[in-house]
Amino acid sequence: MNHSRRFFLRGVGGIALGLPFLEGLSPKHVYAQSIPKSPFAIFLRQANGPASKHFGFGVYKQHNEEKFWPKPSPNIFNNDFNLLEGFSARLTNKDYDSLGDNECTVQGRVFELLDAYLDQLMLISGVEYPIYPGEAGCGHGGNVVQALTGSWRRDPHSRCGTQLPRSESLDYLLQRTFAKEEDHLYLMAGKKNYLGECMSYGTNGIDLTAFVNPLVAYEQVVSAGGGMDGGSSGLNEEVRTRLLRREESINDFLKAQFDSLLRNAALSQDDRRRLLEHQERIRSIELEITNPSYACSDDPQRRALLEAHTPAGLSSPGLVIDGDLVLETARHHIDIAILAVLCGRNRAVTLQIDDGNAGTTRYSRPDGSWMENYHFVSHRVATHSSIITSDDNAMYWDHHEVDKHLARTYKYLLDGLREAGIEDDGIAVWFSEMGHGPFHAGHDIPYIVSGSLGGQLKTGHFVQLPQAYKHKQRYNGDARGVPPNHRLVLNTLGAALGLKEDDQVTPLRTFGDSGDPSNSDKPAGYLPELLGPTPLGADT
Amino acid sequence: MYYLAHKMLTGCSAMREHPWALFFGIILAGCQGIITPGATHITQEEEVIIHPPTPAPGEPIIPVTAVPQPLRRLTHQQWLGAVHYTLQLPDIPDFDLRNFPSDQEDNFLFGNDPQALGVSPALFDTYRSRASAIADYIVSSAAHISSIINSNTITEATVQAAITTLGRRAYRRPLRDAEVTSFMNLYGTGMNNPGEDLSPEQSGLLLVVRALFESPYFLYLAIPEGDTEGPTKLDAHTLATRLSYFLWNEPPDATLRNAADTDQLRESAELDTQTSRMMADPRFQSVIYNFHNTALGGLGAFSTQAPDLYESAKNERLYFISDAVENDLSWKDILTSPHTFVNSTLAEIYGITGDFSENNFKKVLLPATERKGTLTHISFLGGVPHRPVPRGVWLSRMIGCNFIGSAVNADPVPASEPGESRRDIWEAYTEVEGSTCIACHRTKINSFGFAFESYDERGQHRTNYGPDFSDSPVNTIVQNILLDGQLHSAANAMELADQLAEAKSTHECYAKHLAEFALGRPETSLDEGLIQNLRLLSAEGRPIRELIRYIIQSNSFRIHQLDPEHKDI
Repeated sequence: MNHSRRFFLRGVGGIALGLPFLEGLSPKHVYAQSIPKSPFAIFLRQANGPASKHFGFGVYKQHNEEKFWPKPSPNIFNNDFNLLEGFSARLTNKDYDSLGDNECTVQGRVFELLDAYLDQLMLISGVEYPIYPGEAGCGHGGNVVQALTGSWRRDPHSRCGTQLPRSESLDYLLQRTFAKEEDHLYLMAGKKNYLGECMSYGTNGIDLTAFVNPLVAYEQVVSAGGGMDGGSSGLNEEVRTRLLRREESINDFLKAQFDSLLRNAALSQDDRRRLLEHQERIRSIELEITNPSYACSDDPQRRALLEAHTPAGLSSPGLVIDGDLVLETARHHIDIAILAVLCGRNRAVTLQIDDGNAGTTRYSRPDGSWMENYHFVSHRVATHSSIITSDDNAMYWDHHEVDKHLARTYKYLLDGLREAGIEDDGIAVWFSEMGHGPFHAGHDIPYIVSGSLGGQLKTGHFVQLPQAYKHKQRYNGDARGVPPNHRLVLNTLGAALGLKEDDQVTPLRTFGDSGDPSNSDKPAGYLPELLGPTPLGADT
Repeated sequence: MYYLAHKMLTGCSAMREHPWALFFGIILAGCQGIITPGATHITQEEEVIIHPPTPAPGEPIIPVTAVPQPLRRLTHQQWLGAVHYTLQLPDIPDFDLRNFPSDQEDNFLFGNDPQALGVSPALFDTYRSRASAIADYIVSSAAHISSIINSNTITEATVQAAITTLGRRAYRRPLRDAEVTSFMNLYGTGMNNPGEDLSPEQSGLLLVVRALFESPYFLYLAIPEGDTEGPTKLDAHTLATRLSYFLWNEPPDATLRNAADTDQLRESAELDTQTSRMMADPRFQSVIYNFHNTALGGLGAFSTQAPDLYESAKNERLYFISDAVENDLSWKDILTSPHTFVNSTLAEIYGITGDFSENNFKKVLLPATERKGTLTHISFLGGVPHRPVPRGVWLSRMIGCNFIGSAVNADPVPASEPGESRRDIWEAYTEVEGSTCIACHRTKINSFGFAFESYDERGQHRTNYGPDFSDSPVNTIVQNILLDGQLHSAANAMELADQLAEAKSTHECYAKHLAEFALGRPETSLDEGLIQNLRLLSAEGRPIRELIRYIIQSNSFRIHQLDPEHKDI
């Protein structure tokens, strides 16, 4: 079921009155050169990486034509081109023959679908995970924990698919730093099969639960009490006092039970950890009860729209998930994400599309037929257990169609941010934890970033990062001598979003955790190639 | 007393071979009753019902130890079942179970690894809102209130009686006096602070019901109680809960509760009686089917097949496993059984003639020259990948518990040349002498997959590959099957099934699966003794129900012991 975005966001301005984000509702120029006071980030994750042959990497370079990354001008990319140097090319939609120097064209590539946004996009190619390859067979499990955390897995001996990272993800850090930690919003479109939700992690890398059903997510966003009785701020004092007493008595009752349980010597450390986390939720509720704050207001028509939607992943117990339904659910989630940042509840939202490998999602082709499940398609195989690839060019084109589906979904997000007038107050990041091609490599991880955050980030460019193994002097500071890994991307984005080091002065530069005691694998700092004219992390 | 004699011989020799066993607080009844360093909980000598065979000469006997029994949160389905069980009202809604935040997926074969069952903020909110919904459901109806308090009048006395009754069901044990008092205090708070449109009594009852369903004693299963870190024999109610969720995936019924109330359940004979009773109940069929369906790789590959074939295959496995367990067959029998169950869809694929319909399944003999055992059933062959290498990987992993890594950086599989069979292509592709691939492929993968090449993706028998491979003939002869460290050969899947049924590794794998399923968590090194004995029982062809009875009788099931190194499991 298609729905009207304009309708969904209707009335948001009214409910945002008095909230910190009010200024976000005023008209914005796309290239505002003042850093937003309340920037946000919305992360949109694609499984399995894009269908890209890139410029000569991978065994698939002899097959297929490049359909993902833009085509650079001849002065950048010719037969003598060496990717070790990298480049930055202005994004255009020109004919290839009319490209000027240091330009590239999106014609015939996925990004043609984002033509209206080329000026505010930065396409980042050539990023690598710091620890790659993972153990055989742990590609998905090993990569998902790194994607937004910049962290390697907590236990190096954990089995495939059971890994947790050592530290939190960037979205969670943003939320807990700038807004209420317990309001962290993690959304998922698709069925929680293999690896389930696997992008967003809390403090110390604890796994978080994603909302599959947009209606439930919406209820969280519009509920002041976090699932309570819809907030108590409208009650008269006597009624409110009675309500508080009742809630306090239940909380006291439960806390006493937890205290008693935790005295049980037969519990393991892990048992205690889970009980303490559970008990902590009660404390959070207590704070909310006694200090009701804001609410994105409920709108019956918005609610009805969501009630009419059957979310992907909940639609049936069947083995196949309709990719069109996944995308429809994703669009609902996007609306909720925009609503949440617009009314000031959230400073970061992550939308994970599909589970670990999208192994049950079947996307559609332009003629309406179903392709194989996306995991098969991405590997060009016919079983989940093999990554031995077949020379199946048809599946390459299917994979390209999936990329186009995702590009349209990302455009839906950008359209919504533009419609709400906040497109340059935050960033929208389309990424995958996988690199190009059937091997799901840990290099060439794609990051598509929209928004300059007041000119801190470069926009309107395709940035091919240098494959800098041999270029030890390229990076300043302690980032020297390492390839451009994704931790540096996350630090760059985090710093632009206003995150600081522990001294509360230095822009974020050490996000992530390799788990390496020697710290030799923990580069800090930023990627200068991604920076715009405004100093990174400048105070406003 | 056979047990004592048995342990006199085996347990003490184990001690000699494994002096570290004492460190684990191993239960060696035959040596000196039950040894519990630092604990006084376990002193009772048990009469043991089932006696595992003695290992082969030279194989060390590994004692069956008490093991950690982790705190386990209810799954969402169990949550709903427990709500129904507690309230015992007709027409209880499902309280929007569909919209619960999904449980974290994990890589544990049987799902629901306790470590993955946390309570996220979203789930906490869901529990709280659903507890409110349940309470509203009760207090908004005079009929519901009457049913719950067993009276038409809400008084302190009727409420207290209701708390005792509901609490016993919700906590799966009798409430302690202090707990009843706490609930009554809550009732009083509700009375004194009534909600809008509710009487004081309704408000009090509402708080009680909410608290009941938000309580950790309701939300977590079988919490072992103990005041030391040493081995602790489970109390009767915890044991009843553990038993009931293992065999039925439900709370204990009245009979089991009574056995727990009198503490008889902790006696081996009574525990075995209850086990046998519960295994005769239809609820056990569903659980044992789910276990075997998972252990056999599931039915996932039917996603690319017609939906009715999936349903037919699911029922084939359901009927076959239920029949096998009910008739006291063993895992060995299941791997070599000449029978299956078919409807008209399956009969056609099997090539079995007779009077069949779509909805009625009949027990039939498999075509003797084409099939033998459950690995040649359509439910298996169509449920797992059908190409020879993936199918081989599946067999090797699921039946032999072999570790198979994933291939990396392989070149594309070449297209077939005229006259070349699918096996020829894969053989040439993966068994190149000197390559890194051959080490695993030849002995651990390909031999398993090639033997099953006489079945296509639907599980239909074939003798040639069809036009895609020039109608080349299927060759199922394999000569490099690595089983128990020895290379074996087989002419086809039926011979391979026979060899698998005799292999130690097959029964070791089955034992591991069964132990993990029963204990509800991935195996640890502390489970070695249990797995060894289960393997010995399975290899001897003992019935599956006997293996389950053995698990339930074992120290691993009945005694809680933290990991001696305090590692989390």
